[in-house]
Amino acid sequence: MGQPLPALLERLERAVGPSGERRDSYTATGPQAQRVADRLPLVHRTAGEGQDWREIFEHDTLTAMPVPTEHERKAGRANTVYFFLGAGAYPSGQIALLLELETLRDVKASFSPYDTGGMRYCTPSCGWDDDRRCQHLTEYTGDAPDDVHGFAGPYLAAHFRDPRGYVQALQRSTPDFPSFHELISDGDRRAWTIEIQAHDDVGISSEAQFLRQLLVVGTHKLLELPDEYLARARVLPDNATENIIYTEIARTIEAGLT
Amino acid sequence: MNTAPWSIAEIEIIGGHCCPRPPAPFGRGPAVVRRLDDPDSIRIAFVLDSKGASGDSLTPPQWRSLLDSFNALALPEPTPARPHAALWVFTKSFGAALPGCVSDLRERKALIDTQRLLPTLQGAAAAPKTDDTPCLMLVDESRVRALRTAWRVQAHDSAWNSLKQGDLEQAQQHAERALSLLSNPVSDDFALLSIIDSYNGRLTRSKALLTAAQNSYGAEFCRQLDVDRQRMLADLKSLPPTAHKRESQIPSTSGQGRLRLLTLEAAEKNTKR
Repeated sequence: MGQPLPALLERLERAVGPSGERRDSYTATGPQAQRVADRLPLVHRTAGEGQDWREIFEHDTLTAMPVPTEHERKAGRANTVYFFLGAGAYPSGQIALLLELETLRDVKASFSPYDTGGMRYCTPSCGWDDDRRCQHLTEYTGDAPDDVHGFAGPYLAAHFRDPRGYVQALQRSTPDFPSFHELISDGDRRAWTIEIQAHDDVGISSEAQFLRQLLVVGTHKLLELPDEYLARARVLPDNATENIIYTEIARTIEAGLT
Repeated sequence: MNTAPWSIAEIEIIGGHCCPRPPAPFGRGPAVVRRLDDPDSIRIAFVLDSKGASGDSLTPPQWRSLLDSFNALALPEPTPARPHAALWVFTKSFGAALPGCVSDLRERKALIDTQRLLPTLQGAAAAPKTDDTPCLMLVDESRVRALRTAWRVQAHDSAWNSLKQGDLEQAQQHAERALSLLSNPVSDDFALLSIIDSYNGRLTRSKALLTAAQNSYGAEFCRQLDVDRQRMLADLKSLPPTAHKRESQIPSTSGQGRLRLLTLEAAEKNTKR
């Protein structure tokens, strides 16, 4: 389904350019960016597809749901489970699963350097028809899980002076350098955060090799989780004056980078 | 988060950002509001005070997804917004303590609105009412700062007394209520519930609860939790074995959850495994 990794990296290289500040930063941060990228988990926020969150843990499964946009359907996608790499960029849901990429080892999956559904709201793609969106999506899609880390390292180096900035960035933020895919949002990070789509149901496990952390908002959720997931849970207070789960996802990921 | 608040006069409350379900007895969530002049403009009001409502924006499909995934609850009928309003949800697991809590809220004039609905009919305007229906309350939290703490103390004490009397089913229910009531729970409640879980033969759950406490609140909290736990176990050991005798005096309702033929010592030993 995806483009070969060298083709995607060639696009990145073209955006970085042969010389200048961006090239210098890219070269200098490359090794660190790869180390960061190699530690980035998949993040799934419950609420994206409307699945009852308790069923996820009762059945150890994230259920693939029909894709919501026509351009995704035109790109050959039928059912999908959405993740972001290294960020809780989907802004709702009181539960976040931080999963190791290993979770996708037996699943047909792909990645793109932006929110595939959200490209409807970006410039210039908001003015495109579905065929043009489909074409762009296809050109910037890679194969997951095999090529994710190989792409993410150079991608972080090409967009951030400090690669940890990708993890630390707020929901409304932009990278240090313009996105190589040239889609621009109104400031929402989904325009440049790496999205991963599994095109079938994804089996999950509470084992540490698959589930890095389970974040839940509200103590009552501890009482609703099965035993094995309860032991992997970290509860966040329900009275914060902000969407605390977003910042805690970032903190948890950042703690895993050192 | 969008920083410019929407004024109270411009909005109404359509739900809340929480959805506890049994066995969880209680949940609290920020109100979800929408603009009166644009019903498609929705926010989770993480801050709702006299200046207005600030928080994360939601599109109508996102709000629908939150409801469908049981991350949120919709009120059957929208309610005019009030400063400091938040949604409190009481499920059937809250048990017989609910009427007293409602009285407390009324006494403090903190109850903005009370509604019931079935979770399977979220958003339906005329959902039927049953005993299993959660009770949704919009509460002015500026008037009830210490109330949940007081309820939690009562629930904890009831759990402890039930445990001492050998009524593990009641002890479990009270202890779960105590744990759910505070946004920042106390170590005592984790300690007590983990002991009751182990007495109820739920040894894996007992250990998992302690691990979740460690994950959530860190080493210092867990040191205190361990102190609490050892104190409670010592207190239980010092009791005369009346708990065992009382078991036969308690009318059996389900046959489940009553004190099993575990001695206190054996239960503790199992938990340490």
